[in-house]
Order: sequence, then structure tokens, then C-alpha cells
Amino acid sequence: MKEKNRNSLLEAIKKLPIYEAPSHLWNSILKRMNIGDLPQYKAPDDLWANIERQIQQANVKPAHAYWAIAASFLILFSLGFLMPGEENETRDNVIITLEKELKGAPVLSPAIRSTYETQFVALEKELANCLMGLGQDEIRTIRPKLAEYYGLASRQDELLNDLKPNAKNQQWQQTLILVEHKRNKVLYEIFGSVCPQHLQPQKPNEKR
Amino acid sequence: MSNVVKKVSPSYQMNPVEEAILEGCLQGNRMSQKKLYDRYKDAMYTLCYRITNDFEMAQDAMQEGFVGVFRGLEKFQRKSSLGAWIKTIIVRAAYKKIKQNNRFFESLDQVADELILDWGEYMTPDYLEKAIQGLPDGYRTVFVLIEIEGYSHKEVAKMMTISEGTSKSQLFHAKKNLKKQLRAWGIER
Repeated sequence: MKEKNRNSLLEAIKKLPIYEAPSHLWNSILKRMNIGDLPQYKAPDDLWANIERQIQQANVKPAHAYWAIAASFLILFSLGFLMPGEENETRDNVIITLEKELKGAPVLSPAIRSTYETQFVALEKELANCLMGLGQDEIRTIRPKLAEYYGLASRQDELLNDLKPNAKNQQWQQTLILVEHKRNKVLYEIFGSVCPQHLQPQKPNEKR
Repeated sequence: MSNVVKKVSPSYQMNPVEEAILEGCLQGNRMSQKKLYDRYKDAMYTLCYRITNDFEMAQDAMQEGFVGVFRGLEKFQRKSSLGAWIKTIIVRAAYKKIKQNNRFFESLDQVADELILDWGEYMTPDYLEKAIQGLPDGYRTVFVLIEIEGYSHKEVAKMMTISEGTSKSQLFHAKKNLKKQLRAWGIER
């Protein structure tokens, strides 16, 4: 009798429900582990919103947008917020926004779009390979750069939001150019430290 | 000549997948860390919830527990499965949470640790879950660890820094409470 009762308890226990861990928990764990010292950190959603806003404002040229997105993947991968293979939906959204906002521009020709997408796929794969090989030390090395990048991106955002572009306002324009230049420089340094040459963006002083 | 034979704890033979994940984690590989987390997250979250009886506290315990797991992986000595080692850390984190909330074990006299629960035919896992959730913290924690997770009183006592007698008495009272609750629902005869 005792054995029978014991078995029925075990049977009921075996069928107890399993609860699904909330998806945000992993991000919270990573934040606690790694990025407590990243003051300029923004949540991934904000980051994407920021990039899309910049594209919408047409202040980011396609090539810049491309590297900004790539940098975002790098950041998201390196901090563990995004795993290689999970980025497709987000990437598609960004490409759609890019197309919408730059309607009529040469970048939208089917051939260029195709190249763009191919580049993205290739970049993602290679970035994934690079980042999978990154150790804690390398991530620690690029972390201050990421903070700087975020700081400059925020500053650029402030400038764009606080004051509308005005040809007469030279100081505003100069500041914006300076911030953008610095930001691109930092971006280059981040990529330069983790990516092979062919994956790196043009050096700021060499561009166009 | 001494005939004393030293007993050495055998190393636990990990499966290749677990071994690869562990190696990756030790090198700080983020992919491996995510794989490790994904492998155990639901089971550990369920365990945290059963111990704390509160989803928010369970999430806090998961955060603290897994941070502890990743930071402490170098100390993993392979004397048990990786899952068992992780579970111990998570249990401690969850237990710490209920202690931080001033939810302590009651001091009880030592009693027999066996109580027969006569389950009626209408008993379902849902009723059992509900009855477990209604237990006081100390009772519930010991019941979950011993009856659901399969720990011994000795192991529970060590994990929670309580005596084996306290663990036994907590289990006894947990079962008694469950019986009372189930009877009130007309399930236990």
C-alpha cells in the first residue's frame, strides 16, 4: 500500500508543468556579467530605432548605414544580445526602411539591392566567425570603444534632434561633422581590432 | 606496509556535447554560454519558481544563479554532471532569495520523515502544483528538493546549512500540510 502511494506521488510529480524562462532573462544575465561598466549602453531596440531614425532622416548615406548596421551587429553579437542566425528579421526591416527612405536612389536598383543583401549575408557570416573566436579579453578591449561609439552616436542624435539643419548655422554643421567623423573613426577602430582587412570600413580620412 | 586504500571520487564522464559547451564557456565564448543557458534555462526557472513561489523572485534567482555559474565554471571539478552542479548553484540562489525576504524555516522538533499520502484517483499534477504553492517556504523548499529534484536529506542540509533533522521535519510537515490541503479539496482520502 505504501509502495503504491509512493508510486502515485512520483507519477504526479513527473507530470508537473515546466515553466518557460522569459526571453529577456538572458539579456539581464549578460548585463549583470559584462556590461555594468558600459555607461552609454542602450537597449538593442533603442539601438535599432536610432539607426532607423538616422536612415529616415537621410543623414546617413547608404554606405554609412551599411557599416552602422554592421557595427550594430558586431556590438549585439559581442555582447551576446544577438546570436548569429537570429538577425535576419531585423536586417530585413532595416533594408526595407532603407529602400523606402531612399526611394529612387541608385542603390535601389535590383542589382544593387541584391549586392547589398549578399554583402549583408557575407558580412554576417564572417562577423559571426570573427566573433565566435573572440575571448573575454578581446571583448574587454573593445568595450571602451563601444561605449565611446554609443556616446558619440547619442551626441550626434542630440544634435540632429535639438536643432534643425540650417545652412546658416555653421557651428551646428561643424559640430555635427566633427561628431560624425569621430564616430566613424571609433567604428573603424572597433572593426580594425576584430575583423580582417576586407571586412573593415574605409578609414575615415580616406572616404569619398 | 600500509594497506590503506585511498578512495578517490571518480571523475564524471561528460557527454561530448556538454564537454564542448563547457570548453567554449571556459574560453569566454558567448555562443557556448548561450547554449549552456538554453540547455538548462527552463528546468532551472521551474525549479526557482517552485522554491520561491514567485515569478519575479524566480527571475532574480536565475540571474544571480547563472552569473554565479558563468563566473564559477573554472571551479567545476567534474565530480558530477554539469547539470547537477548548475542546479546546486541555482538552488542556493533561490534559497538566498527567500531568506533575503525574511522567510525563514520554522524551528521544529525532529519528527519521523515518512508520511503516507493516500492519493485519490482524481489527483492531477495541477492540484499537486497548487498544493505545493500553498506550502510555507521552508516546507515547500525541502519538499521540492527531496521529492521532486531527488536530493537526499544530507544534501539538502548541506546546501541550506540546516541540520538533517530539520530537513526531515520540514518534509514531514510539508507532507502533512499537503495532505490537509488535498483533503480540503476532496482529493486525498
